[in-house]
Amino acid sequence: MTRHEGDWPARRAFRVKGSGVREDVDAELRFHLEGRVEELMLKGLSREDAEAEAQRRFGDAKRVGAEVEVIAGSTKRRQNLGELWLAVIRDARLAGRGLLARPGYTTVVIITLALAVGANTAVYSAVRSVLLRPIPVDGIDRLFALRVDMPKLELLNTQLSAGDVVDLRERKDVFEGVTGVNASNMTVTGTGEPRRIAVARTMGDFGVVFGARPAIGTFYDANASQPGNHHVVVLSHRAWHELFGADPAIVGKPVTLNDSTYRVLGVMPRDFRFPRTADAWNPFPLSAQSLSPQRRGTLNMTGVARVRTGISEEQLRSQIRAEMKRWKERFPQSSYDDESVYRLRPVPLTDFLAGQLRPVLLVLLGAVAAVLLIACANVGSLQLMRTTGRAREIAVRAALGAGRWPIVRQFLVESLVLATLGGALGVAFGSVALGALARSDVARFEVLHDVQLDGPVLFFAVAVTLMSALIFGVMPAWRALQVNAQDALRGAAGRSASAGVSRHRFLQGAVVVQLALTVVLLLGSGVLVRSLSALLTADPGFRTEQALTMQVSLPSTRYKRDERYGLYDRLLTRLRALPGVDVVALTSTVPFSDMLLDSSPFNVPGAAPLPDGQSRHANAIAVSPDYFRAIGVSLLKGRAFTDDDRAGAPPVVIIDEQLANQYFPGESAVGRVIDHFGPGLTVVGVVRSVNQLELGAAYKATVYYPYAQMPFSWAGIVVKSRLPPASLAPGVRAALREIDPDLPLYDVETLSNRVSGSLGARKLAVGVLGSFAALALTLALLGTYGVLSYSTSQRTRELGIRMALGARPADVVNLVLRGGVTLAAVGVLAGVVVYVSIGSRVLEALVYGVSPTDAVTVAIGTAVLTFAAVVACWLPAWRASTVDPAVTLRAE
Amino acid sequence: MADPDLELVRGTLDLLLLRTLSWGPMHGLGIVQWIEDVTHESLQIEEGALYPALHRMEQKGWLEAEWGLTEKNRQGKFYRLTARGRSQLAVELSKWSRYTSAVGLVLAAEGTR
Repeated sequence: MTRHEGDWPARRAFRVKGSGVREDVDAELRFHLEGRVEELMLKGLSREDAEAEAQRRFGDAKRVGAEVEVIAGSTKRRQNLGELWLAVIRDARLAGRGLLARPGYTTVVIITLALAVGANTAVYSAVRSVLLRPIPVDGIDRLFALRVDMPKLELLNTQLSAGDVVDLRERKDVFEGVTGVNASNMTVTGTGEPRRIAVARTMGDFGVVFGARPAIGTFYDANASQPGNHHVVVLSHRAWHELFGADPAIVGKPVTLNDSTYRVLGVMPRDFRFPRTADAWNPFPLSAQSLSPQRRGTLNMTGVARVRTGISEEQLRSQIRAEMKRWKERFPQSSYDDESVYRLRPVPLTDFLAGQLRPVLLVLLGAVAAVLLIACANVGSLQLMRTTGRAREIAVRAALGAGRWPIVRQFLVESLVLATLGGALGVAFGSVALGALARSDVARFEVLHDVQLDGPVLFFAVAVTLMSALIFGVMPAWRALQVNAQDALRGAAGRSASAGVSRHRFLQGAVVVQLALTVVLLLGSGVLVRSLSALLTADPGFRTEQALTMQVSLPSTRYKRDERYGLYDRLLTRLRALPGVDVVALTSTVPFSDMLLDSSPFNVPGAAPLPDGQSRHANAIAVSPDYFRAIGVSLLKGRAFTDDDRAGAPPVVIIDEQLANQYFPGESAVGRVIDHFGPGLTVVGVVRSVNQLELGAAYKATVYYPYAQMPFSWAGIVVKSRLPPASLAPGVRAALREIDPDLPLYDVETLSNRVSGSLGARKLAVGVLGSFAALALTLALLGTYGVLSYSTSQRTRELGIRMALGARPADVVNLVLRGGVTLAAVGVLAGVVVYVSIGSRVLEALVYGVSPTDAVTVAIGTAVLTFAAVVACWLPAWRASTVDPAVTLRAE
Repeated sequence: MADPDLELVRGTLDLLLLRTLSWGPMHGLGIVQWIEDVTHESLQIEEGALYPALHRMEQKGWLEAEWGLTEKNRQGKFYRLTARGRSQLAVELSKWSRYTSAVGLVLAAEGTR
C-alpha cells in the first residue's frame, strides 16, 4: 500500500451546488496541505512542525490560489456554456417533436409569424433604400438640398438661380462644396438612330459634393463651366454600355450632342445615380449674363451642398440667414432678408430624394409594426392556451426536481424554434413581395429599383424574429413558472383560481390589443381609399381622354431661332392630315410630364409695386393656337391665339385665372400690358387654371405665349383623336421622319396615363396598407374566436351547473356572448381612440379631399369590425349552450 | 533527499504530469508523492507550479477533473487524462526524445576543429 491516498476515487463526491470557483480552489489546496501534513506526521513530526514544513514546501498559497482561480474561472465558464448549449439543443429537439405532433397548430403559428416578419422585412428594405441610403455616397447625412420658398407668391420648394450657387460657394467656412444641377435632355447623333438622353448639367463643385469618382477617366471641376471649356461630358455606366458598347478606350473620344462635339472625360460607376435618370453629366455653361442680377430670378438649379463636419443643422440655418442679410446689402431692392418673401431652406438630401414616398413609407412602417404586434399577441395567446394542456407535464418534471429554470428554458427555446421557422419563411415571403413590387406599376419610382434583400435587411429580419420570440414566448414561460405541482397532478390546474385569473387577463388583453390595432389599420386604409378615389375623380383643369402626347427637340446648330416655327408648323400640318385626328397642338410643357417649367418674375408697368419688395412670379408656357382646344381648357375672357400672332406681330400673351385673380383682382386683365419674357406683352385672353404637376395641388400663375413668338427649341405635341390614342404613335413618328429623319420623337404617353401615373405612390400606399389591414382583421378575428372558445371550454363545469340549476340554453349563449362582446367593444373603442389621437395626425400628409377623422369612415370601419367580432363570439357561445350538464358534472 | 542540482527544466512539468496521469486518475498531492517515490525524492516538483499547471491543462481539455471521496472520506479533486490529453502526451514524449537525442549527439560528438 503506497502512502498516497488511493489513486482512484473510492466514490464520486458531489460538491455543494452553487459553490463558487474560489471555494473549490481553496478546498483543493487545503486538501493538498492537509494530506502533506498527515504524511509528515506519519514520519514523526509534530503537528506544528508538519504544518510549517508543508507550508514551506508549498510556497505562497495565497498567490497560487489567486493564479489558479483565474484559470479555473475561465474553465468553468467554458464548461457552463457547453452544458447550456447541449441543454438548448435537447430542448430544441423536444420542441421540434412536440410541434411535429401537432402539424395544424404549428403550420398556423408559423404562417402567422412568416406573414408578419415578411411584411416587416419588405417594408424595412424599402425604407432603407428610399429613406436611409438612396444613393451610395459617403457622409450622406452632410448633404443638403437647398430649396427656395416664396410664401407670399405661393411658390414653395423651388430651385435656386445660378448666381445663388456661385455666392453660396464662397462660404467655404460652412460648405465643403456647393453645386447646382440643371436637368436637361440632349440628342445624341452619330451612333445609329438619333437618341434622346437625359443630361445633368452641373455647375460648382459637383465632384466634391457627391464624391464623384469615375470608374474610368476623370470628372470635370467648377472651372469647366467657363464658356469655351464646357464641351466635355462624363457618361453614366448604362449610357457607356448602350451607346458605346462599353468601349474601354472611350476617354478622349468625341460624341455629338445637340449637333455639337463634346469630348468624353470619363465614365461613372454603375451605382452612381444622381440625378437618378441621368445618362451623362456635363458642365453648365456660365456666361456673365447668366450670373447677372437680372437672372437671379431664374430659378433653374437644383442646389446641393456638402456641409462641413461639425456644423449642425441649426448652425447651418443661422449661417444661411446671415448670408441672406449679406445678399440684401448687395441687392438693396430685394427681399432676401424677409423670410415671408424669400426663404432659403436646407433639406437633408435623403428627405429630398425620397420626396413623395417619404410619408407613404413612414405610414407603412407604423402599419407593419402594428401587424407584428398583432401576430405576436396572437401567437402568444395560442402558446399560452396550449400550456394549460401541458400543465401536467410541467408538474411532473417539477416534482422530479427539474427546477424552474430548465422548464422556462424549454418554453423559450420552443418560442425560438417557432420564431426561427416563421422568420425564415418570412424572409422568403418578403423577397417574393419585393420582386412583385419591382415588376409592378410602382416601378416607375426609379428609387424603388434598388430595393433588395441585402445584409443589413437580413440582420433586421433576424432581430425582428428574436424580438417576436421574446414577446410571445415570455407569457407561456412565465405561466409555466406558476404551475402549482399538486394542483396539476390532481388535474385541477384549469380550475385553480389565481393562476386562471392572470392567464385569462393576459388572453383578454391580447384580444383587446389585437382588435385595437386592427381598428387603427382599418380606419387608416379606409381613409386612404377614400382619399385616393377623391383624387382619381379630381379635376386637373383639363380633359385627359383621347389625347396622346410626346416630345420633339430641335438642335440649335441646325435650327436657328427663326427657323424653328417653320418646322413646327410643317409638322402640325402633316399631323392634322392623319386619319382620325381631331386637334393637334404644341406646348412647351405637357402637363404631368417632366418637361421644363420655370417660374420667372414679371412686371406690370405703371402698376404699384407689391408691398415688401416682392416681385410677381409666373410660369411661362408656349402654346400653339389650338392648344386650349386640344386639352379642353375653357377660355374665360378675350380670345385665343390665332395664326396672326406670329413672329414680328405685336407680342401677345394669354394668362390663366390664377394669375388674373392674384395680380389683377376685380378687374378684367384683357388689354393690360405686362413685362415677362420680354417687354410690353399685351394680355389678349384669360383661361381656366390647370394643374401642371400634381392632382389636387394649388394652381400656379401661368403666362401662355404663342409658339410662333416664343419658339422653344423643343416642343410637346398633343394629338387629340377619336381613335385609341396609343395607336397614333407610328403615324406621328412617320410624319416627323418625313420632315426631318434626324429628329427623335420620345416620351410618348397618353395624357390619361400621365395623370393616373402621378397617383402611383398613393396607389401603393392603399394597396399595401389595405393588405395589412386585411391580414390584421383575419388574425384579430381568429384570435378573438380562439380565446373565447378556450375560456368557454374552461368554464364547462360552471356552465353545466348553471344549466342544471335551470338556466336555458339561450341564457348561456347570452352570458358567454356578453363577455365576448364587452371585450370586443373595449378593443374597438381603444382602437378608435388611438387612431383619432395618433393615427390621424400621421395620415394628414397623405389625405386629400377627406379629413383623416372623417366621421363616415370611422363609423363604417368601427361597425364592420364590431359586427365581425360579434360573429366571431357567437359560435363559441352557441357551442357552450349545447353542453349537457349531466356529462360535464360527471366528468370530474 | 532532494538533489538541488536537479531543478526541473522549464516545460518538462507538463510532460511529467501527463505521464503520471496516464497510469490513472490522481489528485495533485498524489501526483507529487508518486513522482517523489519514483525518483527516490531526488526530483521535487515545485508545488507552487503544480496546480496552475494542472488547471491550465484542464482548461486546454487535456485533463478532466472530478471531485471524489478518498478512503478517508475527504473530498479531493481528481484529474484524469482525456483522449486529447493522450495525444498531447504522445506529442510531448516525441519532443522530449528528440531533445534528448539532440543533446546526446552534441555531448557524444568529437570536439570542434
